[in-house]
Amino acid sequence: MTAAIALHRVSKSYRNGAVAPPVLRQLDLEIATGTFAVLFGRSGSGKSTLLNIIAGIDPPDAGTVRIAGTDLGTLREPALTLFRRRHIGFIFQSFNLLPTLTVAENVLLPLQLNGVVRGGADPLGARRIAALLERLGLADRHAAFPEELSGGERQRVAIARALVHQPDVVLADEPTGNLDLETGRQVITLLDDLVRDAGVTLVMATHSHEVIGRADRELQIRDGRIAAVSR
Amino acid sequence: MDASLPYLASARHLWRHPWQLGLGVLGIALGVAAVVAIQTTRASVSHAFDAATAALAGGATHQIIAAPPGVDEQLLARLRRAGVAPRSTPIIERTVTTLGDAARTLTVLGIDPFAARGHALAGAMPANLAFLTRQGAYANAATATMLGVAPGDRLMLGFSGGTIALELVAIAADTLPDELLVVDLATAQEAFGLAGHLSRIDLLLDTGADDSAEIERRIRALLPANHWLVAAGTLRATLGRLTEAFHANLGALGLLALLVGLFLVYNAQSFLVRQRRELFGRLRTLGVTRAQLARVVLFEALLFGSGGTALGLALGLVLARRLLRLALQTINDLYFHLQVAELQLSVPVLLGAALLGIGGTVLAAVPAIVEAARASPRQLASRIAGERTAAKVIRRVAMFGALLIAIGSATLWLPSTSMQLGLAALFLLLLGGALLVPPLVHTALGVLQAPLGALCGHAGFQATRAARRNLSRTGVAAAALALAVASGLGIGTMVESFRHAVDAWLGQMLRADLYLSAPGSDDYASGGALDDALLTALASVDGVAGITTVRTLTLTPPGDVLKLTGYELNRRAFDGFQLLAGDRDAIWRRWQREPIALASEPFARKRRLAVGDRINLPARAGTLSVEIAGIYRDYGNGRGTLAIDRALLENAFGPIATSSAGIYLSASADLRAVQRAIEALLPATGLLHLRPQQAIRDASLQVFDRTFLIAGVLRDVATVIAAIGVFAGLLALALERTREFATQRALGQTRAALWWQLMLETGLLGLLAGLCALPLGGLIAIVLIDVVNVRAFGWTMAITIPWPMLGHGLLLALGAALLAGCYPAWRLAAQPPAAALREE
Repeated sequence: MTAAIALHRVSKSYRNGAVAPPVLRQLDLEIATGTFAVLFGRSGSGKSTLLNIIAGIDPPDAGTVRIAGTDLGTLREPALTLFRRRHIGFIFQSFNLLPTLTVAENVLLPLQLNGVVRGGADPLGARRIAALLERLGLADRHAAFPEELSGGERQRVAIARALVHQPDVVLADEPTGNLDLETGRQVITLLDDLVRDAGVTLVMATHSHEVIGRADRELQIRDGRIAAVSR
Repeated sequence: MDASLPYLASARHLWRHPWQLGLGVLGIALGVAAVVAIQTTRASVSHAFDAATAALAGGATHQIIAAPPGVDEQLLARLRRAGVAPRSTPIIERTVTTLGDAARTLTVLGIDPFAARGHALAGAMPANLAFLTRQGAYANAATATMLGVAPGDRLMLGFSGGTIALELVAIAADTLPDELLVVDLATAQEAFGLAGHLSRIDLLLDTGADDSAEIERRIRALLPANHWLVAAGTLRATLGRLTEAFHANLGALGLLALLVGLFLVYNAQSFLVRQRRELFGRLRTLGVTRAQLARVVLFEALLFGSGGTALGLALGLVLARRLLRLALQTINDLYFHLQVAELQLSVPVLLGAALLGIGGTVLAAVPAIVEAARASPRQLASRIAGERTAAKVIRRVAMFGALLIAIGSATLWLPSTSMQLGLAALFLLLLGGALLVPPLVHTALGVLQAPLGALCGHAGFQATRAARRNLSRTGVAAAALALAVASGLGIGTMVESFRHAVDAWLGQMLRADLYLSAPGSDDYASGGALDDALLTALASVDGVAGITTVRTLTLTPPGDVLKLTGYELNRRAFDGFQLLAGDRDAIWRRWQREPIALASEPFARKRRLAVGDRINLPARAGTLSVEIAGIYRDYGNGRGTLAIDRALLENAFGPIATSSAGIYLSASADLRAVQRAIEALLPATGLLHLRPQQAIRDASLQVFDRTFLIAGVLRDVATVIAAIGVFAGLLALALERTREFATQRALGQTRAALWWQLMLETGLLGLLAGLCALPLGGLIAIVLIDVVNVRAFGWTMAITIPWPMLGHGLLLALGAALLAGCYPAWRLAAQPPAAALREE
């Protein structure tokens, strides 16, 4: 069976003046389809960089990245963007909702970008969004703008947006970092349930031991490499 | 089809920031308005001129003109006998003025109503030919109303040779041009002292006929010496070319407004794009392609550009109405009478302005689109990455600016007299200079950071730091402000230098104590006003030590206008000529003995004449050949003048009316007493004006100031545009930094401290822009004085640095920036930090 995510000898560094300290050093990683994997490690260890590289929004300096069998290095703009919009869902710590779109419109956006629906009034899109929002407890908030929502609600909208177009991989960068313990727990439970129901691969960067405990695989990043792999 | 949500997300962002949107669109509108106003004014002046030319040519295809005293009347009969010009109309045309304080200028046209059949003017002629009675005239209803007369009323009009009394006998059709009085040919000949002569003969030739060239050849064969067959309107077209210099100067001033406008359009549009960097970054992360993002931005640019352009076209036409009045006033003061014109809507001008507004806005969006397309979604979402990119752009822009300055300077050094090339060089230099403003401000802020931090504490440090960091957003506004202030300084320096030079020139030129002048500029004598008897009487007035006289004559050989001035001079008056070339004493020794002339600087420059060259003038009989013995400074006439001795003039051209006399008083004479004595000698018509030297000087400077009123208006327009640009820039920046300031407030920063920091930041920006404007303004002044004016008018002058104006320029830049920063500073300081921090 093809791995959902396969990284081979991936390196990345960011230039800071005259020096360019490495963030990732010849990192190898494979994650099977449908796996819930967590990335943990110290701040600045490279978790977000790794997620960005998997998402194709930051290219590696060296190495290959294959997502659902596609080598991202062979894709150029706009093919890379089209690949990302189809196969990847992204959840950010700071939500990154579009402040000028309503809850329903934020969730509709990936469907529209992927051509699944043409306009806001598309019945298929409306049904899918309504079902998703219902499950996430946001049924009565579909017309609200992000600034009118609580932190937990915003992150649930972000989860809906990441899943609505049924991607192969969902990447979550510390999704509970801005939430209280209880809300964070609820969000993770929802996310876990949704991802498992859909058979989607989830890679989540986190510091939360509780979250780490729920995952199928625990990946620790240290010195730019995957230092510990459990299960 | 594109997904609609990225468009909606972007549009809603703008809708939520109506100030930024409104100011951005207003910026585009003002840029377009400046261009529309100036170009429409130019088009309207040209149209008024063409209409006047066409109306007075009366549909003629050709005209026969001649050297003074005019076309021989007998020629008409010869032409008709030869059968070469069956449709020919003899015409006398003269400019006259109404008497009294509010003198109006009109044209009197003498025609033969029987010969004029077929001439367009005859179509407007009243059915009854009562005007054929001696001194009868007709005019259209508008002219009669303007003059306050009705049929049966008498009119007293003045011209340089005296006065003419006419009776309005009928009202003509409205097709007759305004400000025109038509009289019988014989009446005009008698009144203007032109018995046996005509101003011209209008011919209607069949230019499409096979033998038209042969007909023209046969007509030419019949012409006496110094008579010419020219295409209709050639004379007025030649006069029209005189206004090209004025148009060119208007163009140079318009260029400055355009450049400031362009910067503002760019500033407005790039701001609207930049402020949504993060939004675009998020969209890209979610899978919006570069092309999709570019289409969103381009679509918006088209919308803003269209909205701003529509508003700008309307504003521009309102402004053009005012500019047109000023332009016509200038033309009437400097060149010739042009009747009040309607605003002429020129399709190419409006299309060009629309292209500038919409195209400029779209072009201004391109760098932001390129940046959005090149950057990765991660970079787009990062503010720091945006500033790094902007810093790189600032460096590149600086290099480009330096390159433009080098090309502009090289263009100035080209051995050319082309006005267009001069204007192109000015454009390059200004654009280059403006592009250097952001990097210069960036460097200066870096240098000022430590000293201001030491001087003003945290606020000083933070203000310099923030101003420097945000230059990607405020740099263009600073450049526009510097450019506007520099334009003001440059134009101001040019006007001040010019005024200074004119004042000094008048001081030297006006040597007599009193001046007596007749209206009009040149004409043949008709035994009227400043006649010999009056001059003799003046000379015998107690206290009068001497009299000099001036006679002027305009020659119009095909394609040229030559103004001749015949002086009857004493040595004191002769020394009033400010010689730029030639030996003063040697010229004075030869003045009354040899056929020599003094050429004014514009005259010599336009004809490339130097001392020792000769020029041939078409005289009454044959040719008058004169040697250029000297070149003198003259700001009185852009077309140039040739000064010769009175006897030389009258020997060649016959008796000419004295247009003015300079009266020199003895040392002990009382000016007021002599003035009263002379006034008692003058005819009661009120046609002659006696004025002391100082009054002439004051009146001349008044005309000068009126002439440059239009420059002042354009300068103010540019400054207002730039001030609005800075305001828009700072407001948009302030709105972007809401969270940053909320954080500072949350950390304990007081409102007052925050206000002080912001005002320091905007003040620094304004002050540095003002400092950049000083050398840029100097550059504009040098190009305007040493290139544009020399190439347009042919006169040179020393540069006078208006020191107080430099101070005002700095204060203006500082004031505009502080004023522009007030509202954003108030808004930021007043906003509850919790609300700002809560925002996504």
